[in-house]
Amino acid sequence: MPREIITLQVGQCGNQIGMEFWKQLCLEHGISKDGILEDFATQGGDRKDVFFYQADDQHYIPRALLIDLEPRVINGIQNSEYRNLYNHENIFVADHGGGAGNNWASGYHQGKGVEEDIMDMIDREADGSDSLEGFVLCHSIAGGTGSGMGSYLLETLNDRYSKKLVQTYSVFPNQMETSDVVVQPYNSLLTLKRLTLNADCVVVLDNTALNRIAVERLHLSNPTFGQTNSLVSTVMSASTTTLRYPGYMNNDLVGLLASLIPTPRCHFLMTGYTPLTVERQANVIRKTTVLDVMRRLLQAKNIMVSSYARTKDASQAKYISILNIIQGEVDPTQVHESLQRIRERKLVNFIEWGPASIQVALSRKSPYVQTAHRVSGLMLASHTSIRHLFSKCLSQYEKLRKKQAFLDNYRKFPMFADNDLSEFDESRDIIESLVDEYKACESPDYIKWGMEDPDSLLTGEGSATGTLDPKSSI
Amino acid sequence: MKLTIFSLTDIWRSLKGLVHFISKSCDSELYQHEVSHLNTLMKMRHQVNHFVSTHCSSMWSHNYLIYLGVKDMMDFESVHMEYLTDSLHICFLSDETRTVASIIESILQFALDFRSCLTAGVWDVEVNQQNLLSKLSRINISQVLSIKQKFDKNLNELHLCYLKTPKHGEFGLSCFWDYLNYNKFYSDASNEMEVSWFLSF
Repeated sequence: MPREIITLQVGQCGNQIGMEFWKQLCLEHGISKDGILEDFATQGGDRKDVFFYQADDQHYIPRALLIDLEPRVINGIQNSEYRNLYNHENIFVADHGGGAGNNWASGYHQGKGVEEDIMDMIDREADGSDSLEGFVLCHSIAGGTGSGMGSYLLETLNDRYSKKLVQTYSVFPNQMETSDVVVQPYNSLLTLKRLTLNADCVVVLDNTALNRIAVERLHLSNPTFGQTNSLVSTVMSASTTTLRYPGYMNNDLVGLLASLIPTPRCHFLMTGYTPLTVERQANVIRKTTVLDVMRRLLQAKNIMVSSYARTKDASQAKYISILNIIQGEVDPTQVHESLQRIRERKLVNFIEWGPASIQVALSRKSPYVQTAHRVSGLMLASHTSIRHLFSKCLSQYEKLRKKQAFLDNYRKFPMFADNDLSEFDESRDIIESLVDEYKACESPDYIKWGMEDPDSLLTGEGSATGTLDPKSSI
Repeated sequence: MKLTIFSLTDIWRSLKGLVHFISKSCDSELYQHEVSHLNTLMKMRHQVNHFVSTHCSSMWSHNYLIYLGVKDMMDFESVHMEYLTDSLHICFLSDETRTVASIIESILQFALDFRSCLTAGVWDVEVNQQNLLSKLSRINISQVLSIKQKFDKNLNELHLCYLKTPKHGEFGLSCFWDYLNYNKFYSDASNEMEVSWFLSF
């Protein structure tokens, strides 16, 4: 029985990365741009029904909802070669088409206004599933629609589908360049609260790191959104490989998450992928063995989160869990040897409060996509250094908040009416507590975290005092 | 094995729901009390899950890999014979590995017992949301601690078996223990104190 997953792509960024994801899935399963199974794609052995269903004429339709408050990106999809792929009943564009103006409060408020329409679409998709496993949300955290409306949807899904899993692919803003969205820190903080409280797993796609990888690793002097989105689609499709090509383990989302996320609050995952190529560089071929791939996956330069830096503080950081999904021509003995070599060379620093290892899932590769490399690998990892990314979001928020800048745009909406800014304060407290918990994970005494800590041994990063307020702890 | 994995993912799902609950609770005294229990349960699940996934992974990765090189039916027969011979060691089916097999079986059973400690009422987290205390009090913590003690005892026995086995070869107990103790968690003497720490709560 399939364990179906419904994808919700929200906002400009969410729809762009969602589109790239579906393009990649169609290629890998031999599905044409119109959803027709190609003549050559009859080999079987894959599970298309996790992400697609079949219409009466047997053509494949993504289990996807395309949602936006302005029409530009969705119009682009509807005018592209893939216009016949999606179920047109699953497309929602706000009637006014004016977007959310990069304002989280506007996106959230509008989400509330159209809840019924969107939940009808979600309920219809859920009812069409035999054994729905959960939802995947694609969005960015910095703008208005993906962040605000995405946040509202996360809360609603939690209420309406409390027993289903919610995983997100969340794009974090590039912090190396000045954004034209000046209120990005406000939007990011408010979204992070929902990602912390209402998602079961967040795959962090950090634009800072994606750009660095494009420039330094792929030698693209000025990477386009298209090129960074292709990196994202590579990660998204690779991370769902074990669900789509069943092997001996990790065949469903809950199994995947239960081994990667030992404590539910620390559910933010970072990724690494190797070897990376973009279209015009497909001729740059490397020698790839399992050891090469597994070693490269642990190198900071291949990690798609910018917090993974070589700072003094980062040296204290530890892996909570690692899953390497290896695809290609795998020499069996190399997996064992590679794990031994990595341990001998102390290339990986794990938590001390529980058992941990590099889990390796050997997964089939699509027979319909030719790649130049023999072996490729994706790393999904829970790593305590991710707290630096949240700390950065917090410090950017504090700077803006200190100046009381741009708050009027938020006060226009009910949540912040009458100058009630407590939502910001609460969000900040929750993110501080999250940072504290990740820091506590670096200690062998993490098991005691959340209980009284008179010596403040386990905290000190997120909150100003280094002590715990049980009420604000998540 | 499937039932064990199902139990562990089911426990994960429930604990996730309870964490979500507790985060909404405003009673700080209750919070302290419940967090200590939840941390115990989460860590216990993690340890058992690590054991089971390591065992499953070492067993099935071999199964998957050995048939990759098969060229024809003749080749298949010889590869299959090789598989059966290796399986005696990998799945601990031989007479010499009977003790190891029995330890593993016990641990798989602990996973099922662990799930039964979290009674049916705990699963339905949306029912009676206000009554957190009652929900958590239904968890039989003393039974969980007793399972934890047995789990630790079995791991100690497995470690003793490991110390007696030759330290080479790609498969078998030596390899399994290396994966299990990859971050040297079980070599760290301080972790032997865990049970007594848990019992102090």
